[in-house]
Parts: sequence; structure tokens; C-alpha cells
Amino acid sequence: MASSSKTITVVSSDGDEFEMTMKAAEQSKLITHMLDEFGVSDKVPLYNVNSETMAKVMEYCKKHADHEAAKEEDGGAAIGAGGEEELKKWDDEFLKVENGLLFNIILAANYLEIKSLLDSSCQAVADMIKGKTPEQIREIFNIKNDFTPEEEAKLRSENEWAFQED
Amino acid sequence: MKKQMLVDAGIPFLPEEIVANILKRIPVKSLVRCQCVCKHWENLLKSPSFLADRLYHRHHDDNPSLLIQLNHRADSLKLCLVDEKKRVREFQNPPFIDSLRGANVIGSSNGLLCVEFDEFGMSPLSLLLWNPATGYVRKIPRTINDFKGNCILGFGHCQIINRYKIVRVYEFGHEVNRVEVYSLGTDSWKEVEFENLRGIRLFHETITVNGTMFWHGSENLIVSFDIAKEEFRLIPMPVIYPQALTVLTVYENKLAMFSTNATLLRMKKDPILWVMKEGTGASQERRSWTKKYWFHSYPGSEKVWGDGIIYYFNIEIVPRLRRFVGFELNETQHEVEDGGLLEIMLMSTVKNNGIATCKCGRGRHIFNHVESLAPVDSTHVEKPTS
Repeated sequence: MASSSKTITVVSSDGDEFEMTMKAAEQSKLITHMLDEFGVSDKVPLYNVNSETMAKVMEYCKKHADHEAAKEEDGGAAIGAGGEEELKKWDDEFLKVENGLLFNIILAANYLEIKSLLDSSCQAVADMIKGKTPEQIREIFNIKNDFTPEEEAKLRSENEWAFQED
Repeated sequence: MKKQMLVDAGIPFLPEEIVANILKRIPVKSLVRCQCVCKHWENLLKSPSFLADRLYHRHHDDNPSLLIQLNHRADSLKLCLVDEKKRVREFQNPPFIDSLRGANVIGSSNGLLCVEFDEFGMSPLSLLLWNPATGYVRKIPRTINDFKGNCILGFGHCQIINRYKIVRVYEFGHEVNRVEVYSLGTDSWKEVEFENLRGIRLFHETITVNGTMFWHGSENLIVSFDIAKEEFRLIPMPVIYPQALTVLTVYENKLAMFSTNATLLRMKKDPILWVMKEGTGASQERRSWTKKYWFHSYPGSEKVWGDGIIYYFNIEIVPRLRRFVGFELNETQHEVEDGGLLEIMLMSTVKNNGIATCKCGRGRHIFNHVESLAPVDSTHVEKPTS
């Protein structure tokens, strides 16, 4: 438990500072590498992440670090199978945010190399897209339709079965 | 000065690798719709790297669907798909497929079907590769045109080398006299060594699992073909009672085999599922077979699917099984085949939730089918002329 009392400071693109324990920081491969290279005394600048997103990422890292610590402590007994499910439920609730923030979380998880967060958040978006029409998907991603009406009609008719209701 | 790479308000732009990371998690039906979102996505979804990545990602996720060939060889190809939720969907064939004569599905691997068909009576039969999800078809070049003997075919995909291959074994007078292998990457055939096959006969109905094709062979052997190494091996069957009916299938990504000694009338012995485990290392002695049993199983076990077994039988001959078939038999319209025989596919899970899901015609074949957007050509996609 001694090592987890050490904390480091990260700085968001908005200039806000956030404190995190070493164990939480270890959730991010990027931060871990930066600390290895430059040591823990300086503040770690993360200019690719804004404060709103940073706060969420901090929350995630803390939760997962605590979960790992609890696993190690009781030899895994306290957590058990129920514990993993509980964590998954927490992750699902955690990701119920509006799309803009969710996408920023994905970008942050990618940049900070937090694999589990990247996987969960990408999966959350994948689940959102399932069953949606191309128009709805464009709205979600803020993408412009660059097909001509003829091209689009052709694509649809060739893949009619995919546009039928489930 | 604040360095901001992300847009604070609104939806940030996601780089391609992240879009791919999201899209690889989506089932094929939704993925096909995603092709219509924009041109960038359409190209991304067709790129070989995306397809390879998606296959690797979903390899353990997807329960394969069942592809059932409803017709016998002489009619036009009639296929239906049963997904993991037991929903049945009939295939709309592209016109090219519908005009084939004597068509027969050889196998399904990673989204592609290999179909043989009669072209002006040439022997061996002609072949094509078809992805029903995208509609693209590729005709396979012919080699020999007037072979007088019998050909055994195998079709499979090897994940390690990311290649689709077709194997054609030429048999004349009960002897193998030639083996050719077609690779989709090179779009060409080449002859391969077949010393191990001397004196061995192969039987139709190949199973492909884990980058290896398997066939029943004579002399109580199973013949395997390693798709990557292009080598044949002979595998002795486990010791079972004589006159056992054996059917090769796949269980948990390993080769498995049903053996049953009962006729449809007697149903005395439960079929046993043998699962083959390959040991690590070169020694063949490391290979072992383990037995699995199912309760309340019936003869005519066809294949393992998900957590159950599929049985295929003729309902007239085994009337006591009617009660397991349930509501489907109460429908007013039945397709009754010659002699009034109705053939049913029944699925039984380990807990024996028998469900009838599909009425099939005679001469049926059942394949595990994973839907994918795999192209029938790694370099460019070909559209059928319709």
C-alpha cells in the first residue's frame, strides 16, 4: 500500500491540474513511459486532453486501480466472479455520457494508451451504431454524405437485405 | 498558449484507426449499412487490413450461423441461413447464381462459399467463389477439362497466412492420381505432393477447422490437409465398434467426430462425440481423443452448433419424435417430398431444449457459415455481370 501514497500531477490542455496515485497512473501506458523517462517530480503535460475528459479518465483510472488493489489484497477472494461483473456494470454506466464526451474519451484512451478504456468505449459506440440507418450514423459521427443520390440508391438496392428490419 | 487538438464543443473528428476499431466490432448486417455512410467508410470497410483485423477480433465472438443447402444438385441453388437466434433467412441469389446448373456448395469459410457447378458437361465440375453478404462472385480458372474419374474437393481459409485455398483430389480407379491446390491470392492452381495418399480413398464432405481440411478416408483413417504447409497427413480414428456411422464435425474449434451405432428405429445407443486434441510438438503420439456424451441424444446427429447438436432425420420414420417438433408440424402448408416424407432439423442443447427450426428438402447439406465482407479477390473486387 505504501507505493500508492505517491501521487503525480498531470496537466490538461485547459491548464487544469489533476492529481493521481501511481497505481492509477499505471493504467495509462503513455503516462508510465513518461514517468520512466522523465521521473515523477515534474508535472506531466497532457495537452491532447481537455479538463472535462481528463476528469472522466481520472475517475476511470482510479476505479480500475482500486479494483486491482482489492484483487491483490484478498488473493482475489473478495472480488470473485461477481466483482468482475460489477466492474463491467460500472464501466457501462460510466460511459453513458453524451456523444461528444464519449468520443473525447475514446481519443484520450487512445492517446494515453489505456487499452481497457479504449476497448470499452469503442464497444459502446459500436453498440450504438448497431441497427441504425446510414443517416443516423452520419449524425452520430458528424459525417457529410458524399454519395450522389444515384450512388446511394445503387448501394442500397444491392444490399437490400441489410436494410430490412431485424 | 493552450495547445488544443480536440474540439471542445460538438463531435470531435475520429481518426481512421479509431473508426476501424469501432467498426470491427459490428455484425455484418450493420456493417453493410455502414458502407453507405460515406465514401471513406466504404473504402475502409473493403480494405484487406480492416477485414483481417475484424476476422481476428471476431474469431471468438461470433457464433457461426448455419447455411443450409435445400436443393439437390439438379435444381437451382436454394440456400437459407439460420442465425444464432434461430431466425431463418432465405437467400436471394444473384442472377448469375440462379442460372447455374447442378450447383452444389462445397464448403463455407470465413464468409466465402465455394460452389461447384456443371459447365457444358466438362469434368471435373467448374468452381466459383461467392460471398453472399456482398454479392461478389469469382469464377475459378479451369485446368483439366475431360477427366474420366472422380474428384474430391476441399475449401478452407487459413488465418495465419490469410489465404483461401481449394484442394482438388483426382481419383481414378479408386486411386489418387493427382492433387491440385488453388490459392485465391495468386488466382492459380498448382500441383502438390500426395505420397501419403497412395492406396487411400477419400470421401466427400470436407470439414475445415483451424487452418486444416479434413475428410473421411478408407482404412479407418481421417485425412488432413494443412492449408498453410500444403501437406497431407493420415490420422487413425479412435477405436470404436465396427459398423459405426461416423460424421466429422467441429467442436470448440477442434476436429470432432460423432459415432453412432443405432438405426433410426432402435435408438439404443447414444451417439458419442469424439474430440481430437493435437498435442504440441512434432510427435503424432501426442494426439488424443476425448469422449463427450449428450443426454437424450438421437441418432442422425449431424453437427455441433453453439451449445447444442443438430439432428437431421425423417419425421415419418420416427413418429414418436413428433412431439419434440412442436408447432411447425401444425402449419397448414408443408412441403412434402416424394413419398410424403418430411425432413426436419432438430436442435437439442445439453439441457434438451429441443427446438425445430427448419424444414429442409432432400439432399441437404449443412455448413457453419460466418458472415463477412471478405472480397473474392484480394486486389480488386469483381461484380457479377447481371
